[in-house]
Amino acid sequence: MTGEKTEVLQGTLDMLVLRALQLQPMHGWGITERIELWSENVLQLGQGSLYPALYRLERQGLIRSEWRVTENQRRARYYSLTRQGRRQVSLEVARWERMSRAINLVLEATLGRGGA
Amino acid sequence: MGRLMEGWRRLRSIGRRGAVERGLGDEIDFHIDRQIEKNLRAGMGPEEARRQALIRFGNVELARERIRDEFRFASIEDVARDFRLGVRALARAPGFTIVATLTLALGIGATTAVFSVVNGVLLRPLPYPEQERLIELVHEAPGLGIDELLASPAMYFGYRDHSRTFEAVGLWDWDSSPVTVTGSGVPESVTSVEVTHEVLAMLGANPIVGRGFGEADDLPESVPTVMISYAYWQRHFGGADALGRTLVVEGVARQVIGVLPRWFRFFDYPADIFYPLRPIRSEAVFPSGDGRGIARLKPGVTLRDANVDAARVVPLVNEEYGRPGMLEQTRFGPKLRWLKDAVVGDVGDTLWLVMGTIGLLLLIACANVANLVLVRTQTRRPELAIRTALGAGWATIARVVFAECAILGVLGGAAGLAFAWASLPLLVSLGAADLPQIMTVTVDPTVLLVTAGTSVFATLVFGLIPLFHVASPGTPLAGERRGGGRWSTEGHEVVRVRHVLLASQVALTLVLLVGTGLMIRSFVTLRRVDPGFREPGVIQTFQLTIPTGLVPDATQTIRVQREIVDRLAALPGVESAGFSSSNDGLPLDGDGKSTAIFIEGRPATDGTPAIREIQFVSPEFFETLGTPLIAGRAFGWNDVDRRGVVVVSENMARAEWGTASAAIGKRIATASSGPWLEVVGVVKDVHHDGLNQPAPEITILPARADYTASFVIRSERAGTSSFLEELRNAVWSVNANLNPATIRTLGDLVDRSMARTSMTLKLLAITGSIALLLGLVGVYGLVGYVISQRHREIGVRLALGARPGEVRRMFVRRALVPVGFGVALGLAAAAGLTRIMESQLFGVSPLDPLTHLAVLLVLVFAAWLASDLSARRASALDPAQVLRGD
Repeated sequence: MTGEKTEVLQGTLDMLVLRALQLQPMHGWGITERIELWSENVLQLGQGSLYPALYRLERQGLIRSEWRVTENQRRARYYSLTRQGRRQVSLEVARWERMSRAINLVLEATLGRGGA
Repeated sequence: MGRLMEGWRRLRSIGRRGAVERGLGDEIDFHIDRQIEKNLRAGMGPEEARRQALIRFGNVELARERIRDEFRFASIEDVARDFRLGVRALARAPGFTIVATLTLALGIGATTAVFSVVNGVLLRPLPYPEQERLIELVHEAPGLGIDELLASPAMYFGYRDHSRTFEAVGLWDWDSSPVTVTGSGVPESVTSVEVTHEVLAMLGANPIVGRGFGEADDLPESVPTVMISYAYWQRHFGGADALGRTLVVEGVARQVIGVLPRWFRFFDYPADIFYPLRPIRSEAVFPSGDGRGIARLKPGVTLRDANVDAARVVPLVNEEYGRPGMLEQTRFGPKLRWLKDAVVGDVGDTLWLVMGTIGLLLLIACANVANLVLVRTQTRRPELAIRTALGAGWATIARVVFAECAILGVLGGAAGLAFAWASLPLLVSLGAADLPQIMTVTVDPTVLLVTAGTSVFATLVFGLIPLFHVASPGTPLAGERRGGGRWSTEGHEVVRVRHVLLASQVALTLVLLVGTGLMIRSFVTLRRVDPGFREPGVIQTFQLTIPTGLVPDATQTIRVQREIVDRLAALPGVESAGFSSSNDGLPLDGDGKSTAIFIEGRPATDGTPAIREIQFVSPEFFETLGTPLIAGRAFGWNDVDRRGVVVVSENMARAEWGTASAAIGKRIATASSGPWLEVVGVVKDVHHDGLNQPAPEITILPARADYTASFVIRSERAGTSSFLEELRNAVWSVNANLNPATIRTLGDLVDRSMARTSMTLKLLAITGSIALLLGLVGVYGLVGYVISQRHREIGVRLALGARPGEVRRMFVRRALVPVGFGVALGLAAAAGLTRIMESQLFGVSPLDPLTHLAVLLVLVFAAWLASDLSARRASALDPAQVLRGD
């Protein structure tokens, strides 16, 4: 699987962004890096969709943003979770786990029968 | 809830929009720079690093655009876009747009026009500086049975000397108007007011040329002076220097001392000359009612304070000008009122009633437009469904629908304003005879504000009804995509909403029609009232004042007046002529005299005799009016000379002596000391105070010495210009300095007396007809719509052998169900609402069954006709074509 890169599944981008921000406030670039790192470079964020997602989440009140100066003295917009955002992460993660478990069960069952 | 929060966040984000745009570029730059750094670290050359970073990021502009998309709601350019789309959509449906705009224009325009009258007459303050401190001096004397007694010289002096709450007091009178102005060519009849020196200053009428009246002008020995209106200055002096010029007013040479400003109007009276009233202290009597008083309150004084203060002054006035015991006997007391209320009178009831009916009309118009918008939205379902399919949410669809409504609201408001502006002259002419301050009615900023408010209100009403329906969850739009609506009955929901709208429309229309019907009944009843005179249209009347210098003394006036009557009676086509002494002796002229009448052999109970109207008339006066003699005889000229006789009205004869004939030979007096006057005749009752008022009990004496008289002439030629010409010549042939004034027929007076009823009737009739028309359009539209929704069903029915008539009747029956509900609702509402107009009615109960029945039949028949016509048109289908059309 190494070297093969995958676009983030539709509908999961928001969850991943929120999850990344759960750790600490970050700027957009940081979120990209963090997700790539965690996914062992499998998941690549389309930048054209990251920023709209950030704005959407902010509008939904799940994250907030502020301009800060980075360690290299550059101005950057940092995003952090709101209280509602933190609640939302756990919800989304729980839902995702339920779903992926279900999908896995289905896949396994199918494979099992196919292999028989 | 979630939707609400979402809306709020979006709204909040609008404000931050600019900052976000600015930040966006920086943020993207920052991101790309980081990527470049990373690429450099990975060993790429600078060029390559940059190129790869940009590739990696993707289309920067696209990203920006998508971010901006997140802000798409209620932002300025979106609203502008919605409007552009709305305008285009409306332009594609000119029929809908025109009908909706016209309906709205009618509703908003009528509201605006009537409100501008309400505003001008009732709401706007009088056009005098600090008018909120001006009051009219009115009194009451319950001991004399008088509930409203005007001011008098005694009260004027009393308040001037003793009041603590008045800043200024003034007295005025127009009894002698119009006056004859001579000295420059043809004698001229000029409207006039006599004022004490305070009056004009109190009204803020500071002269534009010359000076105003001062205290000296009111002194009997000073040089007689006069002030003239701007209009008279232009007309008489051509705007040239008029100061110091002389006007001979009623034979008195008066010096012009000032010209009043152009804006100034003396209430509703277009008076041209003003001269000092000069009340004489030594002649002042208490109690009396002679002239009208106004006062300016000191700052901060309430009407209540003023009344308390005035009540303190009254005994002082009695001490100086009255007799002991007078106060107890008359129970004289102040009843001061704001000048504004005095001017407006009781017209408020009528105007608010009309305003209310116009409000109902507006609602009907809104219901109609809501209906139209619903239909339009239904016919646009395929388009809206595609929008939904393409991802448009609740808000987007709502915006599309509402943007159109808003445009219609703006169009309707603008057209309504134009409509109001155009119809205002008509409205003013309708109200001219009756409404105070009507000449001041214009479309002013307040009116514009109300028009704008009305438009917004109307838009909300007709916009939100379809909006909530269309955009509510479970909207039929979802179904549209699935089934294509082929055999769908998805119109049901809409039809229900439309039924409710139609029923309320019918109910409102019914209320308006019942109101109109009641006014028509009142008008007819009023017309049928026997006024006590015949054929008022052929009775010419005019007033004539003999200048004081023309006859040696007042006793000679009757000789001149008799001579004039003789000349008038000799004119070709004149049946008879007569006169009544003074300028208030005509029926329905809104004026009259009253006095205490003592009956011989009948000591007055509780010491005060009954107050009755009194009139002084020449021979032939009642013959000319066509008032029949019930008993006895009328006056002859020898009665005028010898006096000693009196004629009474029939109702007075009955009240005092039981029957008309029993009155003959009885004796009465106008003073406790006599002389006794013998009743020689009884005439039929005449409605002096208005056709809707009972005829007063009246005592009639022979004509008396008076410089002014009101002449009456019965002739088929009354009112024609040739006749008036001959009439003037006849008067001039007696004396060239005489000039007839206030020339009108008795018919004019009758019309004026009915002015309030006829104005209310006309306005309600206009409103009612428009309402009926709109209501019928509503019924017509509903039936047409229902049928259009069910073309296929009808096609099948027809194909299966149903006769067109049956199908048609089915739809008519269904349409009449909401009409029936509306009628029931309307009857209930009318029962409550018509009570408000009770004071406008005459001789008919607000619950008059005949009116209700007639209106009900008219409405139901009209609704049936409209639905039948619509059904005929819409159901004229060829079944084969309809079914093939699928």
